[in-house]
Amino acid sequence: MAGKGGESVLSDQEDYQSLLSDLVKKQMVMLGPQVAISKARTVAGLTVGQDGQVTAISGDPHSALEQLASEYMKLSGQIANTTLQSLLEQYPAIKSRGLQQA
Amino acid sequence: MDPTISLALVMIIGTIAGILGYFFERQRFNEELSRRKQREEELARRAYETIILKEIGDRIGYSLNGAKIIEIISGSLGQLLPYSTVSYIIANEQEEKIIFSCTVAETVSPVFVEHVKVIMLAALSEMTQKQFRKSDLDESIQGVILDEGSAELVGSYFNLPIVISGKLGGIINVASNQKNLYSEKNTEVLYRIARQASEAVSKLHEVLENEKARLSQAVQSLSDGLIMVDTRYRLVLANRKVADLLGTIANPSLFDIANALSGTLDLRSHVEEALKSEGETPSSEIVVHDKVLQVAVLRVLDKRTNEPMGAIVLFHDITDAKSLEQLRRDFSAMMVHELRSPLTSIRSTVELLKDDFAKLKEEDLVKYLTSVDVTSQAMLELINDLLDVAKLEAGKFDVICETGPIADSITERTESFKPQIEEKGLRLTVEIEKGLPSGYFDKIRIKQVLNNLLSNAIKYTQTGEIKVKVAKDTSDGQTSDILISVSDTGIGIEADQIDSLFSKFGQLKAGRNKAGLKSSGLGLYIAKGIVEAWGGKIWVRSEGQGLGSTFYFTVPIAESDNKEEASSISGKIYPSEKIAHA
Repeated sequence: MAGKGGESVLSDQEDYQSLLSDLVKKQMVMLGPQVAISKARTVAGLTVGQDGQVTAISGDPHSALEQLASEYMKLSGQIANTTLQSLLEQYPAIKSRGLQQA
Repeated sequence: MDPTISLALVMIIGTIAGILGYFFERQRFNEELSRRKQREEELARRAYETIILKEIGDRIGYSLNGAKIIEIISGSLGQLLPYSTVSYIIANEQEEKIIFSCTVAETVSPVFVEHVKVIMLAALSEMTQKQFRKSDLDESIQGVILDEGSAELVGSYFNLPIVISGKLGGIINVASNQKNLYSEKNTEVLYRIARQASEAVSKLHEVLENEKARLSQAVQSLSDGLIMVDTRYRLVLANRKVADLLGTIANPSLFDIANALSGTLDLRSHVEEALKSEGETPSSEIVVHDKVLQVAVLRVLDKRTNEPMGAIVLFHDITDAKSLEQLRRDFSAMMVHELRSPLTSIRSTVELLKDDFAKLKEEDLVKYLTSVDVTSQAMLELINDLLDVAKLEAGKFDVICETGPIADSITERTESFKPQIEEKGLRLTVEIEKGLPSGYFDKIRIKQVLNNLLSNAIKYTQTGEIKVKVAKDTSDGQTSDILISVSDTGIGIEADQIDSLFSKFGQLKAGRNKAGLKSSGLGLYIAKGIVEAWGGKIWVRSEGQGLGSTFYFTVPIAESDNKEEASSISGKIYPSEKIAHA
């Protein structure tokens, strides 16, 4: 579908992609690149590059974000949650939807 | 088909099938071998996890040292993973420095170690949202000698954050000069161990925090001021009462406290003396902002090492005790004076009578003897009051309660005071409500109460009226007690003196004796003891100085009358006679 609705979906997807990329990159600094990327790659529907950039999301991006947050929380607990919360400040539309794990 | 060809074909097919079968079997064998290897690796990881968690449990015990977890995990990695260095960072907020420790297992370059530092500082900064520099590190490097000639950087690494009660306790870094060595799979067990150990310590931490909160609450609610300082004379805690007693700001610093004590107590010297002293140090008495404080300094020992951990300074407010002590002294002095004055008067009169007996006229003799009689009577009353107070305080003051009409006792007492009242030019009004129920009281002791109230009313009233009123006291429309009131139009009582009037030293505190009227001042204290012994109440109301006063007391209704009143006093049952101790 073209038009405004289509643009909105696209923008939403870009936001998620950007947020997920930021999250992976921050975790790369915190946990180390290999562990952070391999964890991200266990999340179904995410395509993650070697630099931590999320290049594609198939399926529900919000669910992917929740899964990724959950995976990182298994590794660094509250620290991962704090990082995610600080990142969410830059994405108020996504924050407003709430996260189960956060 | 040629049989030879057929045979050859069968042989070829058989050979191929045999070869394929061999490869299939080999494949199956390899797969089985791989599965077994995976199972063994998984088993080894589980065994490692169990061993490490047990070691953490054994070594940490009930302590809350997150640093120990970090040391144990980083010291046991060789069992699980290949690595060149294992390092940890522990952020010590109290000491304002970061401990960096690096154990070199394989020869690496100094550049490699520097690279590890950069990686760990970046992780620490990201996790804490604070910026750290290499100069913040208090570092130690141990293990294999570094290769100064190499410039090899870190090939692969991972960080293991240790989180205690939601806060970062430290980071473990495992680094290797080989590339792509660590994955989510082979590090999983370490993250699991770190999480379980962190959870265990966090729970202990939570228990300790709860205990600390409870202790802190108890310390805060102490009626004494309390501060604790450590061996380096740093303030550990100060409760709210300290600020009240010393007149400092809320949550004072040690400087504020020392400043408030300046000129009265050298706190530092007292603390140092207590820390050195094996026994108890003597307490001191100081005066701060008109309060007398007793100050005790006690050292606190570490239970395990028996070494001093610090000192507790306790500020106990003894202002009231000191005032009471002064009141006791004043009271004793007053009683001695009250007894010596009439004795001196009696002695002078008797000496006069002895020397001039023959010369004195009969009317003079009667006058002098009456004076001796009145004075000795006053002395006797005073001594009786003192004896009654002694009995009250010893719980041996008998009040014999029985059922009877109260009106008779009131009438008899007011009649006996009538001449004195009229002699002073005062008017007496007695109002006794008709149909009063029987009361439950001590018929002798009620006279003592009335004597006190009536004599006080006469004593403190120069003009006007004394009014005695007896009526049913109703509550919720039902009679609960008989209410007796004695009102006067005398000097009245100030509001701030009312509370202390019924205490032992009440008259002395209230200064009513300063009116130049002789009295032990114990009457109201004794009256209160009597009234309360039969289950009544006694109180006073006054609009202020010069506006008169009204004293009230109650007598409970006797049981038989009470029943007629349809259970007006629930739960109160009075026997026909009872000895109560005031």
